[in-house]
Amino acid sequence: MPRLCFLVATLGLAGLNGSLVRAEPAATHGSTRTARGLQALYTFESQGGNGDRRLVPDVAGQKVVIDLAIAGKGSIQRRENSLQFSEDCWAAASQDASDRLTRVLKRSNALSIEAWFKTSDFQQSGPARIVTLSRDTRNRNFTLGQNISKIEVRLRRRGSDSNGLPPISASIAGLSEKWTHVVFSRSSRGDAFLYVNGRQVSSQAMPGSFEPWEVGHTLLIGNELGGSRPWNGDLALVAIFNVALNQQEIQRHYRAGHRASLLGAPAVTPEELASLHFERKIAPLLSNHCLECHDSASREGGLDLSKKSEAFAGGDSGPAIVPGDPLESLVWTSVESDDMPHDRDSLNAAQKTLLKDWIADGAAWSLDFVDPAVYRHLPNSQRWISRLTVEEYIETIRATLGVDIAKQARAQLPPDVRADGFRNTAYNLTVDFGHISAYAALADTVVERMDVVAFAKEHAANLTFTDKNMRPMVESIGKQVLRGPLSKEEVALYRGITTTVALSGGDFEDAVAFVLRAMLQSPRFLYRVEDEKSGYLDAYEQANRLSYSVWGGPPDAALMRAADDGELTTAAGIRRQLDRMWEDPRAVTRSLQFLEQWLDLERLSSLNPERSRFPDWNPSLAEAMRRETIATFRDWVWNERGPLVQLLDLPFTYATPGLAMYYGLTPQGEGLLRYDVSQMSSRGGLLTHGSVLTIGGDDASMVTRGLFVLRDLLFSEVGDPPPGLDTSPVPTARGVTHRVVATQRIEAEACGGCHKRFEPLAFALEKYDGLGRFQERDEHGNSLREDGEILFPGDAEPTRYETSAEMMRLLAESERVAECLTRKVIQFCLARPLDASDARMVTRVHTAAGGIRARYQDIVTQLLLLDSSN
Amino acid sequence: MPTPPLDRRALLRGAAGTVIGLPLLEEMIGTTSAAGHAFAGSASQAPTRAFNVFFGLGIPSPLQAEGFDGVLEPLKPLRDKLLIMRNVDHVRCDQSGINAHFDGASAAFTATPPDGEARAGGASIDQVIRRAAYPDGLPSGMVPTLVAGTFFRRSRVGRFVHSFHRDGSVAATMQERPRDLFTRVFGRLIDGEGDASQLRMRRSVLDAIVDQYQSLSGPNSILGAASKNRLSDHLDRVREFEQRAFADRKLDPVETRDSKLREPPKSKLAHGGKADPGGEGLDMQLDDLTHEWRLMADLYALAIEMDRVRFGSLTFLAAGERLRMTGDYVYNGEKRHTFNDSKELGKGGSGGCSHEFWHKFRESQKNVSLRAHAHMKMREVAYFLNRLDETQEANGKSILQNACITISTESGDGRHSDVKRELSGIFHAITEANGRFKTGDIMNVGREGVDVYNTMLQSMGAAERLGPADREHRPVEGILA
Repeated sequence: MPRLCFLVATLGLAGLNGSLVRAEPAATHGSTRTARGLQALYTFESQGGNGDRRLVPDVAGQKVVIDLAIAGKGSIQRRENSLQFSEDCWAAASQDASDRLTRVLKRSNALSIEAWFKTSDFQQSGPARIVTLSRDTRNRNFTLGQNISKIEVRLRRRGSDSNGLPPISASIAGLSEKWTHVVFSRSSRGDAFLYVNGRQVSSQAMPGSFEPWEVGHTLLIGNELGGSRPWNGDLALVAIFNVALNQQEIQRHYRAGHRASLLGAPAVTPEELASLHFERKIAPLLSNHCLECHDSASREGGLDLSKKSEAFAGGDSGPAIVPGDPLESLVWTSVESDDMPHDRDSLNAAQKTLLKDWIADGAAWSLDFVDPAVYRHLPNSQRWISRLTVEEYIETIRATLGVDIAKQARAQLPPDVRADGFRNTAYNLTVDFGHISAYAALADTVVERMDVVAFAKEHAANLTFTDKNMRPMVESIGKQVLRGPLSKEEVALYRGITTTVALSGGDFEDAVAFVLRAMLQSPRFLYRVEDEKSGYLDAYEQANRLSYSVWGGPPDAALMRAADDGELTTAAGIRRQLDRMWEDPRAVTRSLQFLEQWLDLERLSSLNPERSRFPDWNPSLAEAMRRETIATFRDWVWNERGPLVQLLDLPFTYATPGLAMYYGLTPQGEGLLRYDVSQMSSRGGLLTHGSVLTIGGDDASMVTRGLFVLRDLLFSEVGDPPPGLDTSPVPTARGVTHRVVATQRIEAEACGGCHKRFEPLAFALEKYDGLGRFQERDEHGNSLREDGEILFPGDAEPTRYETSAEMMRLLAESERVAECLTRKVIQFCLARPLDASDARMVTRVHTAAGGIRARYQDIVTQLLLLDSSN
Repeated sequence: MPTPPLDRRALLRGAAGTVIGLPLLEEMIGTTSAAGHAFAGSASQAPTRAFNVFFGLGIPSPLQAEGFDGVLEPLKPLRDKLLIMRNVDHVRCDQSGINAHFDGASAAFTATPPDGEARAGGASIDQVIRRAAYPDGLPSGMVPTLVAGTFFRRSRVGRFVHSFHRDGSVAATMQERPRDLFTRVFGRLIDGEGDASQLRMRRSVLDAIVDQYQSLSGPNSILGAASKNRLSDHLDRVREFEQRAFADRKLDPVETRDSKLREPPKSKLAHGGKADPGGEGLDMQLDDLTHEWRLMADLYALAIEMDRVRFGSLTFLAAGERLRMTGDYVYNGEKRHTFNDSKELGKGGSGGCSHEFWHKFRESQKNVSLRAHAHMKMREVAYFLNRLDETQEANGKSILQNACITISTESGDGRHSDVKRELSGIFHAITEANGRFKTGDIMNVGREGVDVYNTMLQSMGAAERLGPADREHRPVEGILA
């Protein structure tokens, strides 16, 4: 196997491993075809040679191929890249292969059918079968055909007849003998679209699952079995997918042209492939096995393997990487002999092969800087559905039904537990029995508080139990409460409740109340359900993603209308909605949830410092510190609309009178007020807030504070402390300040390698005690300092600062810090920790959001626009 | 002994004022285990059960070597029913974790390093056994997994939770107050009031809910595997809810309908955020802690005895716990020690916590306070085990003997102060699991925890293995009966 193909097969990369395929050279930019969900593909290319001329091979690349055999009495003319069908002939798959396709599509409950065709008969009808999966003229799973000047798709599903009626159809304006591109797409939620030449020409709901689909139907092209519905014309491509292709994919396929081939090499260029290989395989290898000693800061042996130019230049011992020649590359020879990594586990055989092959193939290197922090968490393909957090649940109830359930929900629902820095981390939003009982009890409470009849009147024509009234009412209520249209099965389910209520002697109000109870406990209410298999968001899933990201709550009526109208399929449509949504107060609330979780402000309510050391501490100060940080954030992010990174160096803060005195400010009045601290070197920026400074505990741990700066601001990491190490804080004493202790650790051979990277980051904070009070001398009378150095990851040399204010400025002017904050916002929005596979996405969002000028709103906006701009 | 054991009869015959009804009363009234109710096996059989018992901070290896003459003394009365294992290593878990306490706690019962702040690297032994023994789910109405404990260090979930799914997420939410545990196991959700038509309407709501969770967690779901598992969990709990809300009504004999369980008293200890003031530690009266521990142990044992629970974990303090303990420690009527950690250490805050005795452990010294703390924890573990030993099952053995119980902790041979691997020599003890494992011995195993666990799993009939998939299975024959 050629190495390039081998890479495609082994990288296992989303968007690469079989999902992108090459377009014809003539295809326009951005015209790569997707193989997402591809089940069968026919390109009708000439077989040449002695190939079976009656065979139409399936070139989708699936393990099970669905080849077609040409049959019938008529003739099929082969052209170079198409097949001409005429009367009384067809191409048919075997029954086994057809049944397999039926089962696959039935399971997915989603479908796309694509065809490039050139008709030769403008009057043919029936519809004339272009592609069909059917038993005869009256029984089918699907059919795409031509009906005079229209394209018609029949799709069997629950609710249709066995002939797949009613169909979806659309006229093809100016249907001619030119090549025409048609795609039919239906999502598992029942949204169906027809596209002609890249443009959507029809959309309609085709609800109902594929459950009625039957095996025993045959996949055919050009006719029904037996020849009674012939289609006359040329076919260049037919493809069948078990997902609903999205608009972007369909447009890409159109741009790729009718001669797009899927055979052969991958769509990405060899250079691009090599870049991805480096980023996904080689960079993690270097990061996890080499950079501990050979990054820009360490440069042991004069070798820096974190940057291309330095790595290729080599170190004291000579060339480290000689492209194409592993045996002349010290990186390889030292690894092969197990001399490297020094004092660490050797690379295993597979890793060694990877390294050797990479060098032999030319040592492609695509990154400016191999950042170890990026590769600390290797890609994790598992994705967990997000349960609504307690706060999201409260907001969803309020926004949907107008009931404030906050007090009861906080009391009854088990709290969400913080994981990887946030309380909304999906994998940790587990479900306890306490949730189930609370959801049931809360549903009762909500319904009891509602004027159910008044609510129902908004959705029903009258207050009767008739099917004519109840079904539309259930559909309407369901769409509002469950944040998207109901499937036919769901409507039947809720309609069943109303029937039971009627049979049990309940009245109309009871019926609506019990329907609401059921909806409030359904997965579609309690979870943010998205189609994870197709990776394609339908309009309502998109609306939910927007609203929960921006508001932490459900879509409003305007957003739902935008989904109804198909506005959310374009970047412009999404942006229009976001512009509106950012002006809503709920966006502020959501951003404050981000802040509180990121900085773990909840921690302040349980501060319990040692009284003998801090006799003048009182718990109200902790609350004042929390409010200080929230008010400062709100002012900067929402009033000033300033860049997020600038939060680290602001000329103002907020304080209560008590906190003002604690900080050495003169109280200006009652309540929480804004204070100008531009002339006060000790305050200004998040790191000088008591809420953050208290993370170091009573002892103002330089380790904890330094690690916070390292991890939460500089997006960097250090290795774990040696196992069994006594990590008890070393006490200060007369002549021994925290800085002295830290310096001893930094200078110790066993500790310094790591401690030098983070403890100096806390030197600027030495004058703040464990509870954030600024002091020139510590409790032993030692004079304290605030100068130090900061080593930005990737830099060879640290940057010196003389005062804490200067360090705050350095942080606030750092692109690295800005991108780290972007990562935090993205993590919060996605409700999962980021891993190595997210690196490109983060950079893209951060850049689009303005880089160092990125505001909170810009970051979220660009993240939400990402999918739509593919 | 500050708190009398919670008497089952007292629970059953509690006074009025109870807010939570008792389901499955006919099981609770039986004098033998209710196991037979849900387990249709012969008299020689017992239901498959597996529990992990965790205690914080560990037992330094030299103290383990003293056997029952040292801190293990409280386990001595149970010596014939336990296999105590020394020199069990989790060294492979001590490489890429976040924090030594977190690594050690995650390694216990999983033998894998943690995977993120709130996830283990893989399944815990109890959950593997659960899946193998009950591939189609536990009998209706049972709590699938009960995770409970008393702890005050909350920074990372793996420090206190010790039952994990295969994907490393927690197998159940931690019940940290006795009242929470009680409600989780015995709580009834519908007050029994309401006429048949009301119940029918409520039932239709639950049917609709179940239908939707089934659909979204089923084979045609639009969700991926992890999400479907999450919704399957949700569905399990909805079914449990359904069982309690409706099915139990039919099971409650009329004559016992008025019997009530007394809800446990409100906990006096700090919980939630207040239980962990930023790692600075909590002041703790020994009697208050013991009271809560015993209540938890009683309730947990009762849940097992009533066959409401067959799998899970119980935690006696989180890994890396910081408490400033005070109070007299009495064992068998004899005062053994007076705790006053802060005073003894001469510090307040985190520096005055008993945790520091582990940092200060030196083999050549007496380590009096560490010994007292470790001994006290063994006393409480033994209390729980004794509760399980009180109930004889149909096969003539006690629940303690029939269940597969693994007892372990977070650190061992590193003794928390030496710069050497800390996750070696971790104390382990197991029960016989109905004749599968050797008991009555203190064994110097000298093997990796992953091999011990996998040997246990194999013996319990589980095909799944813990640890790296490509790791050769190396059975530890010596622990088998």
